[in-house]
Amino acid sequence: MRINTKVTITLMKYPQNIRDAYMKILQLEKIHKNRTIKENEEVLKRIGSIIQEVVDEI
Amino acid sequence: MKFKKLILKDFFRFYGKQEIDCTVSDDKSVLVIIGENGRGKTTILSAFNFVLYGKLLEPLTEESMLNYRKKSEISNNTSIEAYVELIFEEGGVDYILKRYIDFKKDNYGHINKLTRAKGVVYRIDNNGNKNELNLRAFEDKFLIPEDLSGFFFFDGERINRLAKVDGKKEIKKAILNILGISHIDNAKNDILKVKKNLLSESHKYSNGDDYQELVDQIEEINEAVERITNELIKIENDIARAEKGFDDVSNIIRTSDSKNVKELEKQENRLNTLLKDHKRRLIDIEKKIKRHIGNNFKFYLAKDSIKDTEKILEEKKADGILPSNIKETFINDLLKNKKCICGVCLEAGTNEYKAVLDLKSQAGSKELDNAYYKLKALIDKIKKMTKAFYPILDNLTDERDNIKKGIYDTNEELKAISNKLKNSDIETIKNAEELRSEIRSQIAILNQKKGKYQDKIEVYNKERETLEKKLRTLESNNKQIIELQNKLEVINKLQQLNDDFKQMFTDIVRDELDNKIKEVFSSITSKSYRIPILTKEFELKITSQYNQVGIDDSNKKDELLSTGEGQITSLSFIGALVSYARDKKDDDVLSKLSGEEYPIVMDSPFGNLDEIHTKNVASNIGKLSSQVIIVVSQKQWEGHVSENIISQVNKKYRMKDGEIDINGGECTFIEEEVI
Repeated sequence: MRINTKVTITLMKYPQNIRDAYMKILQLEKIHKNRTIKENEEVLKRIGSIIQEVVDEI
Repeated sequence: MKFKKLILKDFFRFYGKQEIDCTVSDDKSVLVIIGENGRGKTTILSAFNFVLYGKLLEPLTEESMLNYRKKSEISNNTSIEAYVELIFEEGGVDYILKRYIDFKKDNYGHINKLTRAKGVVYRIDNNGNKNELNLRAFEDKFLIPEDLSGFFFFDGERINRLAKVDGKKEIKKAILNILGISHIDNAKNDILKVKKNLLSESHKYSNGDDYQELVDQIEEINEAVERITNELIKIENDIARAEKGFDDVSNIIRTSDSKNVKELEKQENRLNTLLKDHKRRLIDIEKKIKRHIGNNFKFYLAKDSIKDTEKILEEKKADGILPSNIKETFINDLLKNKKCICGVCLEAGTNEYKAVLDLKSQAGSKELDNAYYKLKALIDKIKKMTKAFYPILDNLTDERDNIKKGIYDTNEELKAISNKLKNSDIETIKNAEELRSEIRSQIAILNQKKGKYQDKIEVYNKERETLEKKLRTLESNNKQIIELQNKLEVINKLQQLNDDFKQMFTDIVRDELDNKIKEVFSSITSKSYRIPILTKEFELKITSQYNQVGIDDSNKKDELLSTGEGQITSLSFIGALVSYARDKKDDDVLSKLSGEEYPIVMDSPFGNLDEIHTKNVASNIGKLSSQVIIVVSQKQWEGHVSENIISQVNKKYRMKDGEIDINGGECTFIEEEVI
């Protein structure tokens, strides 16, 4: 089975909003691989906002 | 990544500039460097590590990096650079990576290290020009992660160690590292941190009050108030009835023909009016007393605390600081109007203008002066009120006492009238007054009850107000708690998805590596019945096909391996790792190894292998990677290794002793040999 298929199968177990939020978080983590303390705080803040966006949609 | 050239300049044993052309071809992927003990075989391995990661392998140290002979040659007060430069190709583009340390010989002939290891990287464009790149970004993008470098640059000792129990742990760690999903691990940690923050926030909204309990309590109070209000209505009806009865009976007295009774009735009316007036005045005076205490007692209490403030203000006043004599706005106005109050013209640049401008720096601000006056006025008020508080209160309480006395006297006079009526000679009047007395007592008792019930209602209302306030806070908190719960629910799902993701990638990598290890192992082992397996716990086990270990059988013991078999297992793993890196070149999601492919550099890899395994490893070593650099001694090179490997060798170098210099000591030169 191709990796992309496996990724899709894993993602499809979760609702759309959770999938979107998770992919946003992963993207964020990928961009900020090596980060300063300040950037780390920013990442945590951004993750908080991503979660808030999901909650607002509920 | 393919190494093209390694340049060592005054690097430990290597005197001057020594170059190794590392180029290989598809069918000849091996480069051999032969050197006897003490010629710098391990230094070559260290040179690769230094140029790629800026770190030397033990026991080499930065302080002793400058070549001994070079040290003796340079003059005092002269700087010199020792470096390693690697030219390599990546994705069809050439790069130059250089790491260096600056040394200086002082006036006394001592060599001092001027800097820590520094690095610089260039991309060579089509015209051969060098363009410097950001080293950090370059390292992140192109280099094998340092924690995996030991699998690409290693010596025979390390191959032995990998095959042993400790090494298996290292293999497991390496596999988890090459999952290349550090961002998934980072996501896990970050989501957990956000969750912890939310959980600590949730305590803020929980003050121990139970919502339903509060609602029940308020409901109980409402019921009690309703009950008492009904009672109160009943009492008020009773009072109204009693007052009507009283009025009817009073009418008998009022309509009496007796002159005496009429006079008493007249007096009674007057006294009742007076009594009403006294009671009204009593209510007013009590309100005044409350108001006076409420408004002014705080000033009385503040009398001691203002003393220090007053003292400071007086000192500032004595010093002429507050209030200021000149106002900033006043100076500004003079300068704006270009005319002083004495009539002198204030043109910019003149001495007069400058003198007035200088005054501005001494002028006080309007705001500060206003604050001074306000504070001063407050202090005066406090002092005045402190003085007047008790005299005013005494006057008010005296007035209240007088009214109370008036009420008492009036009541006494009314009682006397009542007694006279009770003793009247007229029977109807006598009976009527008796009845009025009785009704009066009833009304008094009813009023007393009414007062008690009103007090109770007031207490209940206050209690209800407090509970409703708590309820409002709780309702607002509950909204927050519900939101928090929603967030935690989202976080839990994200955590679960993250775990699933990691597991999925882990399984993919394990399966792929397992297949590759089997493939490489089968090509170099002499025992075809031996089968390597990478278990679910990421342990590398070798089993016999007659006693197969399943991927879940992590607890089963694997076959006992000889040292040579262990080395083959390790090499299989390393070969699988390289192959994995090569296959993952287009997949940046999975692998940390983002380059195309990676060369392997091995120092003395044939240490403990027997004849058959030496032949097998040597025959297949070129297949481990598209570029394999082997550093061996002459003894290791001779015989089976040389015979089986030579067809794969593109270039061969030999490390030779340089001319021994009495002052500078030994040094090594690298020379290419014809194959």
